[in-house]
Amino acid sequence: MRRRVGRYVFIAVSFIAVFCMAYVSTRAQTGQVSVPGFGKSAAKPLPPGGPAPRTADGHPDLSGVWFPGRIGREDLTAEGDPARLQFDPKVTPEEKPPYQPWAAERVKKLSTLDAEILRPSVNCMPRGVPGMFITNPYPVQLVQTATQLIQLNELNNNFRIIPTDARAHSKDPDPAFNGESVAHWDGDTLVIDTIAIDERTWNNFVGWFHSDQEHVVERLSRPSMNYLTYQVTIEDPKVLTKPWTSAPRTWSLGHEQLQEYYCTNNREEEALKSLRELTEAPKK
Amino acid sequence: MKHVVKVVLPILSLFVIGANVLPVFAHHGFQAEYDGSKVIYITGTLTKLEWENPHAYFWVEAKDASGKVTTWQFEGASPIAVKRSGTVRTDFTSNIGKTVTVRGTPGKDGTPKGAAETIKLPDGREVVVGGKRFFGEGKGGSE
Repeated sequence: MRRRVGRYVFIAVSFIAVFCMAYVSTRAQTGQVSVPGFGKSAAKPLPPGGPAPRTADGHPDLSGVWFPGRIGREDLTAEGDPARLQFDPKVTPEEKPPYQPWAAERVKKLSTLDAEILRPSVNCMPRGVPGMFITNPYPVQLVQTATQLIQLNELNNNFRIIPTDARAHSKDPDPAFNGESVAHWDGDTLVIDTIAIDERTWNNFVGWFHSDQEHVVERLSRPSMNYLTYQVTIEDPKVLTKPWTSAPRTWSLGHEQLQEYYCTNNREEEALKSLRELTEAPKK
Repeated sequence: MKHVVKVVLPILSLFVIGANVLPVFAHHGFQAEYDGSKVIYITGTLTKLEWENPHAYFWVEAKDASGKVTTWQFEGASPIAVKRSGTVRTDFTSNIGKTVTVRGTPGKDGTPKGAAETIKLPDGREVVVGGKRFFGEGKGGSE
């Protein structure tokens, strides 16, 4: 009996010893948490900058080069800084997509690696609407005329032209990545209504697919010279149980030109496929 | 001791493998392909740059203690984002053939590749070439 107890003690001590060695080994491979700069950027939110400019017809002028977040430019060292985010989920949390049960099941089945491989952006496809705002880390340029809002997206050198004369949608428009957008002014807010969005776009990076019945309503305003506020409501009676409204998203005024950005030959896709072969059993 | 061999060792093996190998996937592409819970520093000769969309790539030949040379492939952010953060193409091209140190996170597939955060140049500057890739021990990151 004594020998058996001693054996169990030996086993337990061995277990703890090996675990500790493994833990120490793992720790030894890691270094400092991050380089100075990451999360400690000197980037500061822009001041309001005075009242928003207005066009001759009295509407706020939304024109400008706009960067996501509040610093008015790109700064990789600001990753992790709430000032670089379109919104701070701790301050304005967003509801999860209210999927219908079948849709929730479909999304749930996606492993994170599946989602990475299947997300349209890894295939360099357009982000579409509302992706060109809510999943877009690159700047956009808005050019406002008396009758149109022209949105130039640096991401994939993509654009959309939105009539702002309160016209109705055309009858049964063809599907397109950016859909068909029409707009009207609601006071100082431009309301953009979009339908006929190509079903290959996702509304986030983790599998939020949509149907041909998706209806997107975006609200754009310029509360001050340096800031643009964007909020979107997504209706999709085939996929969602109710409309989903985003948190107000903040974009800030930049002072540089858009550059060329084409996503081509993305090596991530192949690397991710190889990784799946290594880490996951084939799925039925 | 038979118990140790038949029962405890397999359990221990699973535990150790699970703690060190199983990937913790997050939703960002970099975090699926690279291990954001580990940081690596690779010092070697900068040999090549591809300053192209969607992401910049560069290669470093590093020699270990035995003299064996390994070619590491590093992926940065998009050239536009890197440039806007203060690092320009000539920071690389003027240092081809020279010794640099890259800080990044390793690939999960075991090949010599990494997602780069910074590169330390021969003139002593440590410049940004990618976003935040290392999120601390055991963390895959949340963005």
